[in-house]
Amino acid sequence: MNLQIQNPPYDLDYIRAHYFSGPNGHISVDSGEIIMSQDEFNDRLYLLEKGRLDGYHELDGERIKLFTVEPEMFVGVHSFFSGTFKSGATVVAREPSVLCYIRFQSIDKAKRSQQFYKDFMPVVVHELFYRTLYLQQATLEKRDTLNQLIRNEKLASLGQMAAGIAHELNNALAVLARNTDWLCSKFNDIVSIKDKHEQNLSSHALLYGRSLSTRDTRSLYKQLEKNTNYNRASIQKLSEMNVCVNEEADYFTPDYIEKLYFKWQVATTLHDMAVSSNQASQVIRSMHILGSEPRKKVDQVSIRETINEALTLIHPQCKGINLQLDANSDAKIQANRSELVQIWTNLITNACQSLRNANITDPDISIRLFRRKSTFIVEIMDNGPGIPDDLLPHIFEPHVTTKVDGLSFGLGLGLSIVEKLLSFYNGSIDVQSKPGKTKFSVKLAL
Amino acid sequence: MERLNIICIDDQQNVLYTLQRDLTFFQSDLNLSFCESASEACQVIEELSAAGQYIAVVICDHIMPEKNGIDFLIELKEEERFSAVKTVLLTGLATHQDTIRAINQAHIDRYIEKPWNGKHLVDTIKTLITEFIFKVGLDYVKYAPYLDEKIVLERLHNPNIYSNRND
Repeated sequence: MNLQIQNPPYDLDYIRAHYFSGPNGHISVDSGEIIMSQDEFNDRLYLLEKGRLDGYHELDGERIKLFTVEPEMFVGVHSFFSGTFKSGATVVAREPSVLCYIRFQSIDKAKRSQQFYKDFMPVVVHELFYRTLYLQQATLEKRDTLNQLIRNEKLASLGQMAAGIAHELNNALAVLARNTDWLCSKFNDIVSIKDKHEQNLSSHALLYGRSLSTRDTRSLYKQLEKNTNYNRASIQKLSEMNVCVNEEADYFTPDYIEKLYFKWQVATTLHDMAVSSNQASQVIRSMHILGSEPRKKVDQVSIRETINEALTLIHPQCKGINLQLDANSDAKIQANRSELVQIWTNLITNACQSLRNANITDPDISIRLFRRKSTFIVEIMDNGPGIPDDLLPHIFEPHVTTKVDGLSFGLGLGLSIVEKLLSFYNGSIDVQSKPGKTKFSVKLAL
Repeated sequence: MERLNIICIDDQQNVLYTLQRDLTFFQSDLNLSFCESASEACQVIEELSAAGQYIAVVICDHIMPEKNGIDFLIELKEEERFSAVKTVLLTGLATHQDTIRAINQAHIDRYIEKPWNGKHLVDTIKTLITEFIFKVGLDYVKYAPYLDEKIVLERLHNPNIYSNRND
């Protein structure tokens, strides 16, 4: 903690000249030497010329640092001016130091009346002010440390719980995921290869699921109603499957349409199951990270590459959003590739979702990678509505989320995972946010 | 021919399809419409009304981008011509305050939490359709399979319970 008050409100040269220029008032001390001890007699006012001292309060055998004395500062102010002549602190030399001093008795009786106190009043006040400031700063730092500790505690216990849950779910999820994959692969076996409609419809549905919006389904329905003679039930099924029929070319019986629809429904259901089980696995993997220990970093990994990989992964989510990457550094760090990718993925996904939820007209995400001395900085900035001030101090805590889009698989863990992963790299993250501009800055050491 | 319509509104497509599957029971004789937003629902409801069709039940999610479900339902019920419509709030995320508004201002008929029980949903819709039919004075015999029998029986014993006509 560096606390230096510039321009003290008194004329040091004047005071030096009038009080401290006597011949015998000089001492030199080595590091560790004690200049005065708490509660002991002291009738000297010291002025530090060279070196550095620390003032401590002794309490129950513990030493609490009260102040630091830099050159041109005074020591022994309390004992000298309070009239107690008892030192309030133990002052120890941190470095070899030179001090000059005056003794209370040596001050001319005349001077000791008005002029003396007039000259030294600013010194005393200044000294008191400095010490108050010092203590305030120490308190603030302690509070920040305490908050960080509490946060780490919370994260640690949540991490343990998450790991426990993840473990429990792992087996069930693995079974779910594997079986869904198997079903999907077997599904193709039951689709007739001879029937090209069934083939096309079902395999498309298996891969992409239902992709037609309700609006488009409805307009296709109206179109089919107008242009064909199929009954209501058939038209409804055809429009859902996005089948545009040319009645001359193919005629479908209601039973055939029913059969097609059935297989198509099975295909879309399997698709949705596959998507959901993948997402569930992803969540479990993320939760697992929360409770994990750092893994050995195996590769030299290009940060830029990992950002690009993240962008590829979440490409579908960013449709319609203007993404810009400005990475002029191809530097590599010792890392686990997937961990870095996860960090960028989480941050960019958050930005996408925030832009999407607020329906921003020209959504923009810009990513910058650059190097400052031995630190790599990745900035991810979006022009979304920002994070409310009251939420800002809490966003790295698990489960804080403003995402209210129904099926949010993120669980609000995204940022705490980012923080956890960064702790493996001795990295840090901070955020600046206001409506229209939110910027997350990630720092990684070389 | 008059048709009874059930309108489903949710911004998540997979919820809509799940609803569709659960409501297959009603598909043959009633119209089911699916909308991804309140504005889309407004359009659909306007079109159906203009074509002389009845809006019997509206099943609506709450949290949606742009207009949310409760605001939509409040606006819907403000219109005299939709005063008979039965409304269901189907949601996974509604605060206490939201719920109070839903009841007092939107006068919702049912509140169903997500995830919902399929059979419970079908039974609820059956009951609401029955209430709607009697309220508006439609021929209930036609819709027999879709009705809540208990209400039909009560109605036969005491004809004035559900009717809002001044006889």
